[in-house]
Amino acid sequence: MKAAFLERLSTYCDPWLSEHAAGARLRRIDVLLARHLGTCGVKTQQICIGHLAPALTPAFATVAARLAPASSAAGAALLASADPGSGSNAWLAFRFSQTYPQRPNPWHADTDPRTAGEAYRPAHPWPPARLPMVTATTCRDVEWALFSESQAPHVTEWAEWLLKRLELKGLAAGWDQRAGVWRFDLADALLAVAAAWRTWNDLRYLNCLLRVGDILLRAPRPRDGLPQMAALVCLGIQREAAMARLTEERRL
Amino acid sequence: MKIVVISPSIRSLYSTALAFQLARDGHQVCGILVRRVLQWQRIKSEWAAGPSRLIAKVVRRGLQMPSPAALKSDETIYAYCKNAGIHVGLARLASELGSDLRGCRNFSDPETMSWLESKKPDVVFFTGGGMVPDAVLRLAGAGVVNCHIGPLPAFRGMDVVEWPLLTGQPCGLTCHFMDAHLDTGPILLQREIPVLPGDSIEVVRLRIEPMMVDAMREVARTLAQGTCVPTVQRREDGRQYFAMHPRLVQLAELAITRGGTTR
Repeated sequence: MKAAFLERLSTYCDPWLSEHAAGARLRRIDVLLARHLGTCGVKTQQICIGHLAPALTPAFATVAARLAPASSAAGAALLASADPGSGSNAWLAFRFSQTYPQRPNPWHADTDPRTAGEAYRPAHPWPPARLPMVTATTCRDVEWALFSESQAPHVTEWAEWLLKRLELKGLAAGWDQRAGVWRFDLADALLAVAAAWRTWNDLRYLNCLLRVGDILLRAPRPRDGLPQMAALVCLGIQREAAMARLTEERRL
Repeated sequence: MKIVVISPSIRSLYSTALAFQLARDGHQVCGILVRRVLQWQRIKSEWAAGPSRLIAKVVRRGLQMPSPAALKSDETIYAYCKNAGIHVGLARLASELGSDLRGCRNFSDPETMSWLESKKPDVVFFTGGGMVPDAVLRLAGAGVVNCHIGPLPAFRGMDVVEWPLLTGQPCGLTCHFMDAHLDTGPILLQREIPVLPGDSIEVVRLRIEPMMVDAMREVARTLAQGTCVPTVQRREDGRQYFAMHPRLVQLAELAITRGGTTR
């Protein structure tokens, strides 16, 4: 069961992370992100060590440790749920356990999402166009549904909606400059888009990650702390890995 | 045919060239509707698509400063206008053609709507200025024709020169009737855009503008003759694309360097 889950996750992001772990670009972005997180006062060491693939962590952890050596309960939780070689697993398990503490967690490594998913149904009806806003719930639903073959026809529609929402609203209206926060849970939305990119290899989703990610990386001190920062790390690494792979492919 | 031309700016060379050529081809350009550039909503929406794009657009079009690539090339709208003997701006051209030139803040202003209704055009040619509301589409005779700079139905939305290059598809332009959705109306004419090794995206884009004028003229001709056969698009046949991130634009440029596609 665990092997099946890991195999499924292997289509998610880990091959890219491992493949490009030694790349200079990734090491550079590690340092950049760690500095950014440190400036934001987030306890980065725990998030990052738990969250990223082990091959990536040394350079990052060194910088992060200097900047923010303190520990936190959330960080420990991430560490505990992190599966070797599987960064996204830790993140998803952490987010899921926060939102649905009573439900079986499909993102733990010893749970098969195809069966655990039965306990977790999207909270909103399809189609997504009926939804007034991007919400954390809808984004987790996208994440979940991307793994659920039975939901495939709906996922396309939902992901398209999410992409459009992020492109048209996220860039222009999502960032509240005065309050220093995103008006909706952009971090989750971006993770969903990242999942869509990895699943379909559709460059429009990578484009969205790059565009929104630029704003996130420049954003001054987000106030919702750890979850968004963890997502930021994940996003930064993912988009750099994707770009590195794409550039390499184009040059061959 | 009685034609109204919608223009994104009083300084648009594309609109000027199209109005001039339509009149030369024997059509009556009975009105030219220009959307005012300096208004908050328009600036805001263009800023959202990318501040650097907006600045470049203002410099290039607003101040009519051709880029170095445009100055070198003989395939640009600048060269096209020169060769066609178009030496006047849109306002002067409207006066010479006896066309009613009207500025508007939004296409859906009541005054604009009554103005358009009074013109009773056979068809409206759109050369830019934002989304056209349904009410305008209904007052446009046969419809509002737009020339989209990407191949439809596959590439709808923005940066549709760059997206085909990035994904290894041929570039093309498509004249189509506008409808309530983005780039989903019936297709009237399609042309492939030549992309040569050594071209840059800017050069390809510059090459498109004169092609757009001629494609629109061809549509006007076939509409007047009654030989134009619109091909209906299905919404699911294409996808909407958005402004491309500069790093992906670099990869699209790389695709041209590795080999042009046509001609």
